[in-house]
Amino acid sequence: MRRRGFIGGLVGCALGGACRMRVLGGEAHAQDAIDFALPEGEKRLSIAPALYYEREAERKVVCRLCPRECRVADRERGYCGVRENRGGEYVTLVHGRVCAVHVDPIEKKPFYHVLPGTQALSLATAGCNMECRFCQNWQISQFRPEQVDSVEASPAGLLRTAREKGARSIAYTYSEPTVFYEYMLDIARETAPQGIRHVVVSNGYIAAEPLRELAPHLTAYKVDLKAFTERFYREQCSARLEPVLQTLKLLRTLGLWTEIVVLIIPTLNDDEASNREMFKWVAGELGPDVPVHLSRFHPTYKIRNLPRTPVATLERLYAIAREEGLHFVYLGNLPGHESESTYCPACGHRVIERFGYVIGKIDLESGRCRRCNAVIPGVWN
Amino acid sequence: MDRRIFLKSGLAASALLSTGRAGAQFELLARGEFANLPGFVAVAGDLIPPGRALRSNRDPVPAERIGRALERCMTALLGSEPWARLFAPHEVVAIKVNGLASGHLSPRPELVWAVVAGLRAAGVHDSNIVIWERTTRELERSGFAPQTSEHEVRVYGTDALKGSGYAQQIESFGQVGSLVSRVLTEYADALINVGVLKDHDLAGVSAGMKNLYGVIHNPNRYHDNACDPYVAHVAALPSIRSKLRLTVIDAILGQAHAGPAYNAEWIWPCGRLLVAADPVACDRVAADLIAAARAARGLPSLKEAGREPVWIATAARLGLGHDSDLEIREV
Repeated sequence: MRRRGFIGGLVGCALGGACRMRVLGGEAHAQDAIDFALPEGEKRLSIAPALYYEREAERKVVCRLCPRECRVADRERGYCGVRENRGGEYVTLVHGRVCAVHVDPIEKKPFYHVLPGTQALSLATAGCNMECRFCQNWQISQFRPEQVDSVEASPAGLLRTAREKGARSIAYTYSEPTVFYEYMLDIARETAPQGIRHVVVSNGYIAAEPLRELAPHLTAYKVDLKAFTERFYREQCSARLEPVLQTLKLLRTLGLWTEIVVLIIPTLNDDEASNREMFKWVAGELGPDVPVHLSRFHPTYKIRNLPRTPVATLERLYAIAREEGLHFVYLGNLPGHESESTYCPACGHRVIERFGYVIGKIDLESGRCRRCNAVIPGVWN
Repeated sequence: MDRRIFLKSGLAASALLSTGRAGAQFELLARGEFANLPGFVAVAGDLIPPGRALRSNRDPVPAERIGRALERCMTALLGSEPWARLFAPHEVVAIKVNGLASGHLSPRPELVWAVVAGLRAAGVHDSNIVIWERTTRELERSGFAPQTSEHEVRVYGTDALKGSGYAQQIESFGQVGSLVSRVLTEYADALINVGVLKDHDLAGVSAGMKNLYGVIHNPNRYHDNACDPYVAHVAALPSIRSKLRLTVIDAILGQAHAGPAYNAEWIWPCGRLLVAADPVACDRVAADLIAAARAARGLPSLKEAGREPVWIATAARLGLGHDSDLEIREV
């Protein structure tokens, strides 16, 4: 095309898309098959003021909700993807928008020493403040809220649903509850006085002050302790170990019932030395009665090249945990394995029989072993 | 003109077209090796009409002036009928704009429509052109009316596609693992990246490659360490690297500080347009312009501010383009 003609084409079209040029080709029309939905991304957001942040110059903010302490410029979001700086005001985009809600056995969280055999209304919003390469729920945790389907759910509505479904607790789970902290806090504050329990399933990556504010409304906290090395946290989770350990110690100080889950991944965190060190730390710093769940890994998300964890590996680590003095060690994702059940550390009697998420016999009386009367720690009522 | 002289010269409006290196590039282009247009950046100056004071990209500049500047850049870069050297008539071409800062600091629609005109000149059918951003809302705020009719140039966000709008398979490169917009993975044969020239609070500079964060679903994951190596690794994702053919930076206005959001206090009348097939070279020139503007205003350097765009050199090391021995063609 001659330059003159080219420029003429430019000028005619430059201010809008309405002009037409002669079609010189375009046989493919590959876009014709595009499947459009309504452009509703922003409708999937539910905005409320964020807590725990500080304003800086030039409309920047520093988030103080989790150890990441994101410094966020105007129009940007924190690492979690659900908290945004809007003109120097930090907001949460997921307050009241759940992208997953189910009624699950509380054993699925897993909590084995909290209201066994009951149902938990379990909910999540999009987002997470870690990026674990083995995330089981990455389709919601690793997305922004406008990228996933969600529905509005008020605290009162959740309470009503929980009661209709016979759930005794509300569980904040699937993604990372810390990133929807304000929503979780509002639900717990509003509904805990009406008799429903609140349990959190978390990676433990939360700052001390927000946890202190939340804890009085909670019944239990489960922490995913991903491994016991900073290297693993850095390389596999884009995070740090030390703040998680601080959270565990704070939970103990606060007196909140805590359970720990460790996903054992072949070659990445299944070595004897670091796990023994972990079990020793738990027994020493948190006490031997903290339940530790060793879960079987399944290939997913960014780790699809490793096999499922061999049962023998889990059993070896189970034995090490017991050697290090932990009273309640469980193997997870192994339905039917005898280590799913709870045994009295004093007499060895099976006090809670489990098969997967199904509870068999419960042989506890007021939180004590029926055979020897030893106290079995937990939240039983 | 090499980069050092370019920076010292302040961009006199001279048209340079060396034929030696360019001739070799045309041969490469003819073989479809679009990424091998190393180190060439065409820079048009004087886009702001005399006596016109601009404060944001919503203040008008004549479309003809912008169109001519783009055409001059393309010709300087590629020779005659430049668009046809990069794009075939049957191809679907996606134009990724930057709508984060709304119309105040997003690429001018006049520029984007001039790119569309270039594609039309290459024979690309309107229905095979899409102007796109993360969300349709961002496009609207940036002055683009949504358009999903199959007979027109389409204008929509990734969020307008059913489902999440992103591919199901994770693409990985280095430390980045992301889902890429289906606009790129399923529909587009080629990508044109149209950014703006601005400071970025975390990356140091947002011009070309940083704008590619808007192609993936999880950009918030890649802001640590002044975005190094993440910007480079995003640009190296297979869907992006294999399709990115042209980078166009609207530098009529630049923002020297307090980006990526619009901040009128730090806007300066740069008056330029940057065009390159080499995304690394383009970002290096953009970074130099930001650096010079900051120095002129007494601001600390990006390095002193803790956000030197080291990712540009990282991208060069990955072979995405050239960070040195640049040839800047002023037009």
